[in-house]
Amino acid sequence: MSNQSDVHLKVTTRALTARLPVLANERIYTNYSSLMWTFLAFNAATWAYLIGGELPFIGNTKIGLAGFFAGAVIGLVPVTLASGMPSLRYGVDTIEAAKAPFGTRGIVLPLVASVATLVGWSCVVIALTAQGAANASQAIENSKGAPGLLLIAVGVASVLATWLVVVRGPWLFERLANYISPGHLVLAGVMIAILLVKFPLHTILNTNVPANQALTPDRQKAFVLAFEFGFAGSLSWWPGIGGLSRLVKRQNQLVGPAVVGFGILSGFILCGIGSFAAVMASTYDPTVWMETLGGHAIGTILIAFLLIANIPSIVILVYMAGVQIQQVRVLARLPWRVAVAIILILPWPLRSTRRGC
Amino acid sequence: MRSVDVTAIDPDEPTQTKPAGTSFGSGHMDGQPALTDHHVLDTMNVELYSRLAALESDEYRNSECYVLGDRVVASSVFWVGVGIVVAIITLVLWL
Repeated sequence: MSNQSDVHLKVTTRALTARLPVLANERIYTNYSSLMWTFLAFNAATWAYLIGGELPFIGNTKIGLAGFFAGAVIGLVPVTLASGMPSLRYGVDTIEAAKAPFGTRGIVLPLVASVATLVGWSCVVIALTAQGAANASQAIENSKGAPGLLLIAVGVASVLATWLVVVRGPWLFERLANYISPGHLVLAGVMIAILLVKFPLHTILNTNVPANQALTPDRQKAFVLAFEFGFAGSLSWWPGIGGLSRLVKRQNQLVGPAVVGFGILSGFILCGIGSFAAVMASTYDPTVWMETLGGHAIGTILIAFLLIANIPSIVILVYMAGVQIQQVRVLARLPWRVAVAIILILPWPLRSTRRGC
Repeated sequence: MRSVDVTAIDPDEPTQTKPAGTSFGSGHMDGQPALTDHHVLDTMNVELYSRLAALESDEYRNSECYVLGDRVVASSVFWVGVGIVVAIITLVLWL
């Protein structure tokens, strides 16, 4: 009996971390909230606040946020149905499911694009995490020089933490998301409270970037630009939604969590806070405006949580890239921990080369 | 289940076995007991074929994973509607 359960566990583990179809009894997302929390954790990294910080530059903060939200929600539904449903139905990754329309040779193009996007974004979030820690350190010490050692240490720690979580399989990030995501909402509540204490509500809602920095003075055009931004951003989630949908048990619990997690909680609430805070603090960088608006003590706590909360986003990106690179036969034969290490380490020499230039 | 590309995994090789404890495919995790030869599912191909067969079974075809959920269409229409309503309200109130 024991050996049979060992075999079953091993096979399940292999299926979850490889290209093999995941069967119904192996799916880890069995309820609405756990998937919603994972989608939120995935999309609530520093980039949510950065995107929010860019929205006011459309010209009108309110219209930018409303247009972005409408575009994001409308875009998420087709991408969830197109990418998520086949993956959920057959328990396979997005790339696997996309072979039906693209063919076994044509799939190379989306595969390369998807892996490049996932790995590229994981590098960006790692860099944002390290840079955020350096910004916080500078603010605390009132120094102007960039703490290079801290930057490297936080970057390396992020990579190691990501590797440690990803090699354990998707169970761990599902559990982590159940704690991190509610924390994001608490952080959002604290930020709203800080904004309301410091500024009157009508000032917050009606402050825009200076006219010479706005993309357009035309409100209608601003709305269309924001809508496109949200809609296009939603469509870009196709590898992410498909990669997680193969772990979902019920079709009824896919569209709602995706829209609520990606579109409402992250795309509206977090981006909204990022928008208004960026305008009030005159900087798009959340690791700067959190310190500026919250003060040293609260700001540092908020930044620390935000930086730690980046890890689940990196983990999910790397997990999906790890599954997708197994389309290459040589890489499919590597142990999971080695495949993950390659994804995390491979971009480093590229970054070093770039910096050397 | 035609979207799974069986040939891309191992198109030429016949089903083969590997000794226990060797690393194949992925999913080896720390702290798990080593499995003996007769307990290990031999190759990725064997595993894949058994899973494809499971996906074709009546049990799977009747599961919530496979059967179209009764709220999928309704929730999709609802959320698209929410987006359209927000867009209309924005256009009417602020433009």
